[in-house]
Amino acid sequence: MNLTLGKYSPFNTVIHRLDSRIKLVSLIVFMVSVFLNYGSAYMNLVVYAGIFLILFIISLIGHVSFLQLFRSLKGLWVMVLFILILNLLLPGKTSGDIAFTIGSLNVYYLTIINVSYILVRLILVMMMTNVFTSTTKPMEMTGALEWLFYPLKFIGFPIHKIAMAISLALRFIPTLAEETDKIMKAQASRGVDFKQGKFKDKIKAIVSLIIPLFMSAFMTSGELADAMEARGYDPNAKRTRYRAYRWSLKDTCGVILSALFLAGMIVLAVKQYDLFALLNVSLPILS
Amino acid sequence: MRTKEKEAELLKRDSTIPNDSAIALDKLVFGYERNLLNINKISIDIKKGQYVSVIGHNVSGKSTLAKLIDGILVQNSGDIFIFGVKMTDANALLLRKDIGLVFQNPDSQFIGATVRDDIAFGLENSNIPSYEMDAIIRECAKQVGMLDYLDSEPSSLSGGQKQRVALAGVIARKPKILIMDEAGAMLDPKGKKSIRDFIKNTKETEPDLTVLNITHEIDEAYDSDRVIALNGGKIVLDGSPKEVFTHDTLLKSIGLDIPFANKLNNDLKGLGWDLGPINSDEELLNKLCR
Amino acid sequence: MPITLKNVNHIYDEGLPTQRMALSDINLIFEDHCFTALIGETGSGKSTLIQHLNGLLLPTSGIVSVNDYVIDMTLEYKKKHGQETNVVDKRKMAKKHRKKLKEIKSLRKRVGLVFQFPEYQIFEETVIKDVSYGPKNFGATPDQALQSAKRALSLVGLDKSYYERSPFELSGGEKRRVAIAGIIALNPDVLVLDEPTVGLDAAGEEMLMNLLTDIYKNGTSIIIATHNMDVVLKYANRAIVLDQGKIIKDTTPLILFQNHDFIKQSSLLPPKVFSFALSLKSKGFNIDLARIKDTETLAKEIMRVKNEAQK
Repeated sequence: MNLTLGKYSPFNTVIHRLDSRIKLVSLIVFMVSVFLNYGSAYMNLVVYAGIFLILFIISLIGHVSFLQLFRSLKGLWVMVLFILILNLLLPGKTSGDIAFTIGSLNVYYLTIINVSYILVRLILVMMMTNVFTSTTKPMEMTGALEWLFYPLKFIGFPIHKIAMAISLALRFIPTLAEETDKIMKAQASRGVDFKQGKFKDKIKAIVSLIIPLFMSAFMTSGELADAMEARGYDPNAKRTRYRAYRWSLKDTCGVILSALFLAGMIVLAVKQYDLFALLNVSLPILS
Repeated sequence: MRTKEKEAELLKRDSTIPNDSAIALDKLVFGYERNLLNINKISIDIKKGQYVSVIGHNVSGKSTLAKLIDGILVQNSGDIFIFGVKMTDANALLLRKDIGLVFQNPDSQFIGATVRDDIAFGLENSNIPSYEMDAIIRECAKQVGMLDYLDSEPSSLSGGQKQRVALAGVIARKPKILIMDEAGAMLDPKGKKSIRDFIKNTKETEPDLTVLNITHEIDEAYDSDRVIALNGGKIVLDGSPKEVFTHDTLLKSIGLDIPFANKLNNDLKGLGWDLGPINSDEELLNKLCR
Repeated sequence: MPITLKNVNHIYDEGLPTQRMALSDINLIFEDHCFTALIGETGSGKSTLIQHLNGLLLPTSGIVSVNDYVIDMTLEYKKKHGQETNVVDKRKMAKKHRKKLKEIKSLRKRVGLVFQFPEYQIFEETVIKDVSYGPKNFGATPDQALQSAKRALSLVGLDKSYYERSPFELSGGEKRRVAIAGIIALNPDVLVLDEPTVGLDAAGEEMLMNLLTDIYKNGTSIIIATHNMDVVLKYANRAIVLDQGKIIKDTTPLILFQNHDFIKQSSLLPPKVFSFALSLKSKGFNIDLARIKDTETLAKEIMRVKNEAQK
């Protein structure tokens, strides 16, 4: 059974080889930068375009599939439509100038800008998440999260136990999928129809799948616990790690780049330079 | 952090147990539920380096015994001594370092995301420094013939391959006692054979390794020095394979199989031809051809 | 009710990098009232072949027919749905296809399929409810289903006292019998089992094989996939050996186990009783190999030869 989890694409690019902790931190940095305000709408546009360009280049280097991105976005069109309608029908107090009217409904420039912000931010966030999940194996992601949340250990949060639980869950997803397939086939051999039939029958069909699956999962977890204990696992004891992080030059570059990027974004957000004013371009003021 | 002194105290030997004892059980009693005893006053002494087979029907208590010896289950009463040290809540984890236990189900004992990670799991628990792990992993994988599969995921491996990885993961911790709980039960004949050969080879290269093989296969039982038959949580037979397998009626009555030669010999006796006690296929063949 | 496979191929993951041919040009006819053993290692295609017998899997190419009903869905399916030939995982359904699928589904009543570790498919609160589930799915009234269930349970040796018990309280062997009863309750003409004796102890195995023999004597054809050569010798009258998706031997157990060259090449181990009989024969005992099924029959044969020699 071929299962590519989290849409991971198994290539061997520079991005794939980057330490997953850098990637996680960069992801957070990018996300923060997308939600900062850089002054006028035009400046925001410029910054967002810049971020898009960076992500685009990274995607090319990392062989990240744009098709996947489109598919995910396609799935969200209902939510986007909902936001659009909501904003059109309920503009804020300071509505500003009217762009055009549809029947009795006034469409304000501000509304258009706000909705555009939402859309653009959504696209950018999905893009950067797509880059992350395409170039990072699930185990590596868990490792990076475990490292990030390490400080929580000191306030009693069982970060290592949770990370172990997540790793085990990831390891067993293909196994459980196979088990589901087997049970479905066994029940199909008893005449169970998972797609057709009355509602009542379909419910029974799902029950005939879920109960054995749960029983199997419980049994497996009991056996797994025994096996882990038998190999000396003590959740409360100190353990060494096989997958130790090995730092290299590209990781240092990554850190520096991320730091510079974050610094740059913060400066822009705070100082709110107006690029267009600098270039002596005059643009209509949208309030 | 445990100090060396505290550790030494936890591992103090009991002087009543002989020096060459690997596993000693004294009136061990255990039941999962209140009124049902799975292990009913078992006492036994297994010496260092012995290769013992444990046979019994499916609910005779074999797996329960394995888990009790490894300290995964806690007994209701009675004592367990590992190399003369009495097992307690405080030292069970320490004692477990010397015991390796391989289970039946290839999937539910495959812990890591890949073969590498699975073998590494035991090493991580033993606090082996990470830079030493690769060499050990490669060595153990080689021993079980899985060196070419180090980065494979369990979903792409067969049952036999997964069991070999489990073995590798267990021997990586260099146990002094190896317990196999029907490790070949869910495998095809090829898989079963590889497990059986592994035990034989390992016993040759490590004569001091104490092996406890829980099995249904009579041929495997014949490889061992000593056979213990369990029924209803009690030991009903204990001796060399030859001795134990002469008790045909008893074995059959407790739901067990008997060796081919014994079976045929019994059937012939039933039809009127008594050839006397037979211990092997060759012996039977020779006697018949006289 | 014969099952015929003509030029059947099955390819998993066609078009993907994980593509592999599980069955290659299979031509087989399973006649009525036959006890067939399917032999092969893991990966030989046994499980794939079994799932074609009741329409769970459709061939990538080739024809499977059950008692003259031809399962010819594969080509149409391929055109409509690309690579997906797995009937259980269907997407958009046209009415014509729905009808076809209904017909294929009804096949599952006549060819009963018991998977490995069948006890894992049990889910109802009581034994009798679980065993009645199958017949109900195929249109039986609650009364009819109950009767079928009771009949099936008595066939597997579980009496009235088991009816209202929770199946989850039973032992492994009992659970397995409940699961098998669930398929027997469908009253199939052919019963197909994938490794039915795995995980059972000697007593459990004997009980199961006796049960299958009874069912066989009652007129049901049996097809079992197994590794156990003792079982093949004792119970089967046809042995089919699969290797890497191809049939490499289709004969009787007697002929199979006498073929020294083949046995040596393959990783098959002939049953001890047979090898012993062969050794006896080579030393001059005039054993009639056709009569050897297990140690009892071998003993009888030895006595017969001995008594004749003494005359």
